[in-house]
Amino acid sequence: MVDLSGLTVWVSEVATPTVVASPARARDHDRVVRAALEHETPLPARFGQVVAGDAELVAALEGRREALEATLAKVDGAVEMTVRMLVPAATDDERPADAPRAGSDATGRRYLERVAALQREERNVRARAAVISERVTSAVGELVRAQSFASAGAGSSLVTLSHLVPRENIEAYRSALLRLRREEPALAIMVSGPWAPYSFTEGVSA
Amino acid sequence: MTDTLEPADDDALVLSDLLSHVLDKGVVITGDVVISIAGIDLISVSLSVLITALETLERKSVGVTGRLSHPLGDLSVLRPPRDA
Repeated sequence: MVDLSGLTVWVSEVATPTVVASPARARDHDRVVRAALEHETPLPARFGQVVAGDAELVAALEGRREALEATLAKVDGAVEMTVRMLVPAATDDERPADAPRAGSDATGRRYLERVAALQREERNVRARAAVISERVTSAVGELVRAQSFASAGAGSSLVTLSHLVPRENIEAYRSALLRLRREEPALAIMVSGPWAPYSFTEGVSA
Repeated sequence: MTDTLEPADDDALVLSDLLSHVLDKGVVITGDVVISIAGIDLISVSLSVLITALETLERKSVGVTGRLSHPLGDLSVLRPPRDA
């Protein structure tokens, strides 16, 4: 541990300037974060960051002390819960034709029509993602302090909503999502947590 | 009951969820984070596993009313990672 007069940083020593990610090391990283989470809510660091020594670490963190303290205050007493869903499949009317291919038929009007159809489908996916996200947001309502939205990227149907949930609301939060499942049995939802607030550190990062 | 996942799938899901948090989120204090992932994009792999699991759950959920005991339909399914 490194003490920065009021802030404590949990670190470990490595022999190389780059850490190779592996499932075992990711578990180790999270195990440390989770140990801290048992007592109070820490700001988890992203895996794999290496600094030359304590002095470099202290300098980097002191430069962000204000943001660190503000973010710690924001997450104090709360944990992250993560909801994952699939965007419902497109209807036949919305489904685009084959993806455009470079090649013999890749020029002209037909190609441009395909591109336009794919762009429409992207917009439709985003619209459907917004609808199911709103359904979840409404279900958890006042139980959450903040929400973070992420999709897995263009063309992906995976939607991730992360919620900052006060510890005293965790069970009510779970119950609210179970009620949503009951109301929408065809909506596939996975919920995980509690996590340290991995998705609520944006104010601190370089 | 058939609509449960095999333990191996369950473990893969827990791990995938963990990887997507630990490798892709959290405070970045060094401006140039370099993570060597042994030639495998673990983040992409983990998201693919999650998508596949959700697709499976979606198929199994169709026509099932009020079933909440499915491992993935229950909050207990994606548990905090177990100790290795």
